[in-house]
Amino acid sequence: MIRLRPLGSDAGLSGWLFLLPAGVPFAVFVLWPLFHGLAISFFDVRLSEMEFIGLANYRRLITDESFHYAVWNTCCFVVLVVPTVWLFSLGVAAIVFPLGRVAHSFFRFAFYVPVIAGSVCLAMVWLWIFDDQYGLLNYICGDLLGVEVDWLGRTDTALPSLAVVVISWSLGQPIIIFLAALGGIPTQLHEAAAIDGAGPLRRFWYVTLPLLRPASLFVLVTQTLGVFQVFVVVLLLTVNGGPAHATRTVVYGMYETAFTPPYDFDYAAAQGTLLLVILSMVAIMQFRLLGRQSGWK
Amino acid sequence: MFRFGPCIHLVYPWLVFSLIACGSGCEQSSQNRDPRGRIVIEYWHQPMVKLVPGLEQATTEVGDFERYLADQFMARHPEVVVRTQCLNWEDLPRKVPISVLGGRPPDVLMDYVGRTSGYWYQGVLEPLDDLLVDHREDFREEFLSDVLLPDTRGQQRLHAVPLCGWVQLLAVNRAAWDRRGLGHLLPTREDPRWTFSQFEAALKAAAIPGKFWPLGMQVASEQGDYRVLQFFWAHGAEVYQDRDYSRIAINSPQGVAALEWLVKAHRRGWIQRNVATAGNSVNDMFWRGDIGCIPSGLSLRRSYEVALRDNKVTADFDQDGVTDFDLMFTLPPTRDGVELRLPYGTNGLAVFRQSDPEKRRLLFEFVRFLSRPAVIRQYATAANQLGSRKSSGDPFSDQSDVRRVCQLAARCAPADMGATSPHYYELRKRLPPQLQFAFLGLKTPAEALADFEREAQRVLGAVDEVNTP
Repeated sequence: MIRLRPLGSDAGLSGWLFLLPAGVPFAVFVLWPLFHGLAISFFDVRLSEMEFIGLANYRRLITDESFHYAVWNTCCFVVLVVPTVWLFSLGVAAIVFPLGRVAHSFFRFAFYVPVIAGSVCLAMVWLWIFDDQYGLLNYICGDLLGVEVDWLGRTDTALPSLAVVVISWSLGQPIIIFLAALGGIPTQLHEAAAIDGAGPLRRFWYVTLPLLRPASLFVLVTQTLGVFQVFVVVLLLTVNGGPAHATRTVVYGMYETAFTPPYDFDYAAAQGTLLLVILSMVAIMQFRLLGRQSGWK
Repeated sequence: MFRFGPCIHLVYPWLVFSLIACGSGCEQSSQNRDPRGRIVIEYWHQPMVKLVPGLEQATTEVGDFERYLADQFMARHPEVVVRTQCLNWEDLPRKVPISVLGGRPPDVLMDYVGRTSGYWYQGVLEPLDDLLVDHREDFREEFLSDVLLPDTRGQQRLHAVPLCGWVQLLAVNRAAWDRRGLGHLLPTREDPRWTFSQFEAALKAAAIPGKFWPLGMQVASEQGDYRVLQFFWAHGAEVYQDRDYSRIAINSPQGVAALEWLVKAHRRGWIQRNVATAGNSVNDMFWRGDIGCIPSGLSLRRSYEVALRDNKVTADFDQDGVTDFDLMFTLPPTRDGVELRLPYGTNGLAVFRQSDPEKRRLLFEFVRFLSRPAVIRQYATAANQLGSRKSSGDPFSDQSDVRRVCQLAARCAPADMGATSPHYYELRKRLPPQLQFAFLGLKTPAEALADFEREAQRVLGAVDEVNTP
């Protein structure tokens, strides 16, 4: 375990000072907003004054129908997106890995482009794809199946449509991580398993997959945290998380609560605090379940 | 080996001094006076007008007219600098409250009173009663009623000076009916009134499943909610009863009947398919000829001119390659026995709280300058809206059909949306999702309105709970 030297010594002071370039922005832009958010969730914050209201904002969360929809939708997002991203990126990495460096570079680039491309540009493309009158998807569905669907206008298709968009944006990083992790697995293990008579599928199941556990844990934790905070796609592809709250997520709800009239900053802070608690619990749970035997403790 | 330790001890004091210097720079710029000692007035406004009649060359973009007015004011008052800032529609509800929270709000704001009233209830606006002392009678009552709000002692105070505003009518593309030989189903320009059954007959005759929806509706968000509310008023429902803002009155038999009618109209193909997600795209559908009529203010004529210039008007019902668009305004229809009420939307000037009496005096002077009848007339004419002052004249003198419909509209009582009630935005945001549930068939109209009422009462109850010591 790394211990910082006491502040009094010369070396200790230098150590602390070296920490400052990262520590000061972290304290100013992460820690302070975190504690400030927690504090104002107990107040009625108006543009001109604040009044202590205790747990009123948290009681409001219990009865707020739109917040319940937001929590449910966010959980649905996580369930739809995280396993799909994990499975798909692992599958792509496993297929691409034996193909050599050129193929690696090509697929890495292909799947990473959506990560670095502007989300607004991508959202515009997806809006056009999903458009009920002039969209590519209905053009294809109309021709092939004779069915036209208002993808973003129906409660049963809107959330899965957004999940597809989020999945397409999220694949790049996990594929790179899995490719790197696959490169770290000693070939002798595969050779030994092959000598023992294991076929490709059994080698993947009994050798590759267990050794990818740390990478999988990293992907699952980061994806879960990321998808719990899904926001841009809701803002850009829907109107106010509609229709009928079908695509409203917790972070979008926080944004709307705080930054559209009547500017309920305190209630948004309460939502944020609850999200923080949920995310912490989910992350702890994932570490507990997958962290054993993987070195990630 | 080079050691970083001693160097970094020197870097940090410099960094701290730099930050302090930056901070003090910010502090200086927030002062009321510029380096030459002149009083600085920050004037933020809506993107309301451009190409103001008589000043077309100088007002080619939004914001130009306000700069022109600011220059005129500065010429009269050399001791003042007016800095104008044109905010777009998305920024108006975001940038202003953030600026208030940051301690640097504008001095004067020109915006919709549904928003400025929110700042009044937050206690950050100056009361402006003194500005109207001499010419209160000159202001139209329907606009004044929107800007008079209770203060903490319950006294009615003027929170903004009304400039101009819109009254909601029904905008109809006559060509959609005329080109199919159905023009006789519409009212005439000389008598732009129709009964509800006449209206239904016109919708029924013109609807083409999946291609043409005679009525455009907007329930994706709270924006444009007055469009859908028009049909509630047409059925005799009220959002609030007798200006009692402590409870919602829309969940009534008339309200349920209105929503049932809307949902049926949607199922019959009279209202566009994407009603649950259509926002401002409704206007685009109107220009394209996908929709035949939409509830709208008279300013739609200006929007039409802009759309025409941008080649967005592409309606072509007889497929002859020639654009078919003939815009007319009618009074919205009402059920038999229901008195027609029309919502007004007022734009006004609000002044944020000031500590410097001299600056406050000059700000009031500036607001007085901006609300002169001549300026109001320019705003009203350029925006195709109604002027708030009687002496500002008739902005529609060159549009006989609009004059006619305005004369008829003036006889109607104003509808109460509760736009300046204390919890206007909190409540209005809750209605569209419930309407979407009803349109998508996930709730019956009665259930949707009951749920809205329950949510609304919860908000009002929660607010009372918080405000009760």
